[in-house]
Amino acid sequence: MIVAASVRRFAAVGCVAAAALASFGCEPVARMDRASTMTILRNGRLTDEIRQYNSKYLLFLPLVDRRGTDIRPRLAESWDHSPDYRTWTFHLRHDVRWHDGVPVTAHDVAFSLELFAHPDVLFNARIWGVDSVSVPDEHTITLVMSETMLGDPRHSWPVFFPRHLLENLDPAEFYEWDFWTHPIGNGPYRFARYVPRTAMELEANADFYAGKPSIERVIIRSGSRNPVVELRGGAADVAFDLRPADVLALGDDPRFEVYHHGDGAELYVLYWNHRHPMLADAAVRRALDHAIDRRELARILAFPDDVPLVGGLGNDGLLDPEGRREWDRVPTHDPALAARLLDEAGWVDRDADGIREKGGQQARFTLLVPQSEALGGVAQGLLLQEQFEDVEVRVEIRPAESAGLVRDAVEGGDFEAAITWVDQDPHTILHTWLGEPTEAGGRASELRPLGYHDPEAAHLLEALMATPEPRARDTLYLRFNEIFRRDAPVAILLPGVYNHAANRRIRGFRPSWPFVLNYAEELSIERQP
Amino acid sequence: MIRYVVRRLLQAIPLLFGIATITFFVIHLAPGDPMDMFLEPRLRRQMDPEAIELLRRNFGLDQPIHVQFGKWLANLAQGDLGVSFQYRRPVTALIAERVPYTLQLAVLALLFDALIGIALGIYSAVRQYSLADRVVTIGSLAVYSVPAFWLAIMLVMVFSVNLGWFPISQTRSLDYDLLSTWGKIVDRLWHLALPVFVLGVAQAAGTARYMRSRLLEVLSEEYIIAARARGLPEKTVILKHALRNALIPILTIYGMSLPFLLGGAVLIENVFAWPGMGLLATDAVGVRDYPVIIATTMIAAVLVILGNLLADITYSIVDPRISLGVEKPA
Repeated sequence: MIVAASVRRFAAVGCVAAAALASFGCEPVARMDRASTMTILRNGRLTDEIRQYNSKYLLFLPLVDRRGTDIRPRLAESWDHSPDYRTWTFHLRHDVRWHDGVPVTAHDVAFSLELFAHPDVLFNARIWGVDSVSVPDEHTITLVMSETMLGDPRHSWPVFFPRHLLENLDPAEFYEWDFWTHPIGNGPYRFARYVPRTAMELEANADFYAGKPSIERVIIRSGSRNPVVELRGGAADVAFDLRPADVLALGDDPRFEVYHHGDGAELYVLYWNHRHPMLADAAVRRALDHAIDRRELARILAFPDDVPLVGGLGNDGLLDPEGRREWDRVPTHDPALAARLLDEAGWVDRDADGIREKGGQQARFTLLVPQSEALGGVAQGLLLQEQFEDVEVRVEIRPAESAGLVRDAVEGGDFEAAITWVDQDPHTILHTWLGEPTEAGGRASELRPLGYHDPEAAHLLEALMATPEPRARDTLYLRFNEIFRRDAPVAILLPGVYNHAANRRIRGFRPSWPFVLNYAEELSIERQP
Repeated sequence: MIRYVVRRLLQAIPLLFGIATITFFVIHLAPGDPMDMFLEPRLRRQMDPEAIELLRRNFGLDQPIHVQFGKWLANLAQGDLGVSFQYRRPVTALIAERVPYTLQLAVLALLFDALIGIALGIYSAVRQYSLADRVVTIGSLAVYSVPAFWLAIMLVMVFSVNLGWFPISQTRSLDYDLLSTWGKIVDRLWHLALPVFVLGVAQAAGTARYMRSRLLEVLSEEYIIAARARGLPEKTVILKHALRNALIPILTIYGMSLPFLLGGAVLIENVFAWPGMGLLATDAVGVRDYPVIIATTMIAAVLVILGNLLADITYSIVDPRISLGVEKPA
């Protein structure tokens, strides 16, 4: 009895303490001025985030940026290049200052580029194609791109750091500099406060060259693993790179809008191993292309119904915008046509077991799929399995832990078919996967990943790699596209789409922005009545 | 006692070496390349091969695996756990940052377990077959059976998202720096409440079950009957005579529960974005950050060994009949 009384007292005290804790706990959130604050959610560490990921654009400016397919000025107000596209000159704005008042000059850009390439730093791999940097004057910077690495610096968007604050620091400690916990930038927002492993608070920069941003305060919250819960609980207004499951979970919540961004630069691709007895036949590959219901695949990935589908090389690969033209990129989903093409290729189900055969070989292959939920996971593979079985081709699913492991298996030739995510740029999908081995590439012919071989295609791909001039390059690309349509060396499944979600009170997001924080000064918060 | 502890610690050295060796080779032989975290696969063709090689050399990944292992062991002997590939910072510094967060969770969960589990166990035992006893018994069985991650998500949905009583994640409020000392303490406790509850409640359920059965066993002993026959107050009989004896095995299992708590913390830290060792380890596995994976595995192994040692020592302290290392004659 006495013990029971003690337990009761203990329970009562516990309840009171929990209630007090909870009631206190509500207070800090309530203190925030939510009406002028946008809280964004990021998964990684704060210092990494503001140095190299999406949020860096709140604090720092890149030379140029992209909106849709247009390259737009940012820190650089104009630029030009040499006829061979190797030397690029950027003319910087004169009215940009670091947040401590010091003017931003070309020396800051040059310092940053040299710092990134320092052996102890090796930061921002995207810009390692720069051979040399020179500063003709305070507001002009010239980059000479590497001869062996065809690169357009306008497609790399590093941000630059203040030389006057960092030049005397030890590059060997780059990743531990205190600067990253109280950064001085030159962008639309300036550093206000850092709470370790929790959040970084930024405030609107009244001296920003394009005018003071409308949203007074931005909070970058770190470390969240569950963006839907954070959004719904009011702990964040914006979350990036949501998984398909997250998009579906948010779908019925009227407080949020999901933005789907895809600029055609990435694709989901189905690689065929051309050494496989069935997949070696271009007619079979074309037939399987028609067996794929791409719209259904898009639904599995929670893409919006109006997302443009792709099914072949598109005009996004053309460098010269004037030369772009629409063409029929998507093989129709037509199982009857697929079945007829397979019949014509000699693959017929003679024993009525539901699987086609030819020369004693069954029409079957193993499909390697990344387990990553963000990439559609195994669900995408299972749907393809179902669609191929509709045309009597048997598919076994082989899940791989990550997209990297799928790539490794493909590179090693240890696959029959594989789904992965690639850049449509000829540098990767075309040359790496379909090209012939070259001395420069160093790829032994027996390791050529897909086993695709066409002398003209190989020649075109090599020429593409060596041709920087857009119009000449586009001519090669268009010819290659004809071969691609004929041979269907890979099946292009879907465009890459990133999903972002924002509370509807945040206004101004545009799906066409590659990174929605690039133009944060254009965002606003809807005033509640 | 000291000789026993020293002997056990010396015995642990080859064990740790074995664990380190197995972990090192298993993780290095596992598929995946740590360089992937720097080199986006789709951009590989645009990168300078020299820079790629330089990165690999910086991390020692260009060496044969046995050379890497030798260097890692030599560094370990000097207390150097290497540099994280992901964070590019010394692993010892990373762990020093993260361990306090995990220990906060583990120690408070242990405390929760001890207070709630033992109290409920006693309550249940002294009211055997009552309605309360049945409720505690069924409730603890149910809680013990519920997966921790599911419970965590449910509690977050109810108490954080719907009711807004507790934070969804993280360790402190954004306004933490502006709070008074007392405010900071309460703020931390506020953030700790749900993760500690989730981590501790299953343990407490187990403890309650164990405590109940152990106390019932002790209460049926002859010396308890004798104590009651002597007219001792029930409070004295239970708290002084029965409880002390019933607690002996309970205390010993606490030593061994530390590794389980750390294992649970891996899940809980992921749900609550709690920046402890568990989160560090899972992040490291995802990107093949070898030095961090090996270091966190080693630390877990050390804690298991220390937990077992602690259990043995505690057992010998609370039960004089047990002698460490040497059997006493009957």
